[in-house]
Amino acid sequence: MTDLWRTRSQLVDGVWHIDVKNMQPPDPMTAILGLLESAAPAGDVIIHHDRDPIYLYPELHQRGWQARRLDNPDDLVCLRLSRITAPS
Amino acid sequence: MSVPGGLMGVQDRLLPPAIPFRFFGTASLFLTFAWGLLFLSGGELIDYAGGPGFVLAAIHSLTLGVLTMTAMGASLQLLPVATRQAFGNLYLCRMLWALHSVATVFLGIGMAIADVNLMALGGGLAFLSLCLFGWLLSGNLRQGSGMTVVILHCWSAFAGLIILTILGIALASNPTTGWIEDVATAAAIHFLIASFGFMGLFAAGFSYILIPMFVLSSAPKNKPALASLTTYGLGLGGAIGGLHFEMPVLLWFGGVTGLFGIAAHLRLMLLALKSGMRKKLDPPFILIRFAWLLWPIGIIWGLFTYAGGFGGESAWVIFGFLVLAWLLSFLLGILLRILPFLASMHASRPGQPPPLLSALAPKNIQTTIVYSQIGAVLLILVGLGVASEPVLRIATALGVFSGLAMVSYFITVVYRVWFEKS
Repeated sequence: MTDLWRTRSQLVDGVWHIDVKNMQPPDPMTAILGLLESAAPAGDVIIHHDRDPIYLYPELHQRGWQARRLDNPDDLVCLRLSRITAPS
Repeated sequence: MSVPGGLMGVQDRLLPPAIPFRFFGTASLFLTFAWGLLFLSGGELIDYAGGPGFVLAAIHSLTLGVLTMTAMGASLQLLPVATRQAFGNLYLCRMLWALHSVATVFLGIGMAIADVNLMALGGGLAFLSLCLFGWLLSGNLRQGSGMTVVILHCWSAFAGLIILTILGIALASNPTTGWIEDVATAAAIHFLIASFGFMGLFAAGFSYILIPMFVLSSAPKNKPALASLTTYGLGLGGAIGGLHFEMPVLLWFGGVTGLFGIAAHLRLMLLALKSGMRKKLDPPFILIRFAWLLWPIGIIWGLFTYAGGFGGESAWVIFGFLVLAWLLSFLLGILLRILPFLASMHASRPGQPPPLLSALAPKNIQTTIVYSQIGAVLLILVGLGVASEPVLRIATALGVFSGLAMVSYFITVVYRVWFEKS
């Protein structure tokens, strides 16, 4: 299991944030999915990205998560992930 | 402020789905044609030594129609990920598909019926389509920046594309121009550059994105990947130089160095598989692993045949077939895996989740394709080994079956994602 997510994520006020800017594909996807599967966040997850992670969306949906775009001046792309199904 | 609608911005970053999918669908059709032509060739394959006929038509349906067509579609879809640079001119992308399809059909028919005019027309159109592809490719690579490893592989493949296109035209027009004295050596170099150079480098380069993405592992480190590319390129250069200058030592150096390059690449791929979060891999990975096995075996077989180790009349045919089977199996495996993935991505709509991958990919057809493709390859090798026309007929019939299954897989995925009401 890849541990990329550990160095890129932090829990801020009960919400996981993961910064995957300046990473080579598919490392951002691996880091984000690593966080979702390993840390199993109970609440939402905020992604700070420098590109639209188009290849991530089918994988997210497969795992019962959905993405919503947020406006964040510090990021080119900022997404809020939330569960569409309860964790099994 | 949050913006409702989930996947906003996804569509405008992608090519319209009809563009990559037309390449992939056409490649599935040419796969069936290629196997069909081999079926019609009967025992011609056993001692094939070049020249027009069904075998040459099948080889070019496979190389241009399946392998290059897939490489074109995959490049248009995936290169922007590596270079962060979109293909802007969609008209040229569509024209590339039309030109390349027509070229392959004319060339295939011309070769099958040994019609020099049709061959020249098809060859000329193929030259134009490959030039257009090279132009699109180099434009994207020049303007882009990002994944060094993938970009360098694509530049190397681009160099191979230029050389093989010029050499291909010189070979096709040689009966009238007489530019080439040693046609057999030139044809062998053309084959090496097309397979190990152009297609092989594309396959290896895109593997650095695709395999980690499929198994959810980290991207391989740049240094070992570049070392693999350098070693592989040195090996290919050595093999070509050895053939051209008739220097066996250089050819052996090239072959062995190439094997080290392949070993380094496969080590990185296996590490990705081992460290990936996805442990249970789909049936297409059986085909991908099979292809990885065929890659070095092809070179080892070629070197032993060159040394006189395998003296049968079909030894060189087996070498050529192993090389083509490696590329075909790899690309089919990738295509089986990526089609539902891309379809799901393209079908995403703002505010709507993408369709589930598991609901798009018909597993039974996937498995059928995987095993019929492997079965056809193994049976062809047996048929060539024992010089049996009936075995070759059965093998190529199985190949036709795998081609038809691939067409039905493509249609099923497209139907499920765009036409089926859920």
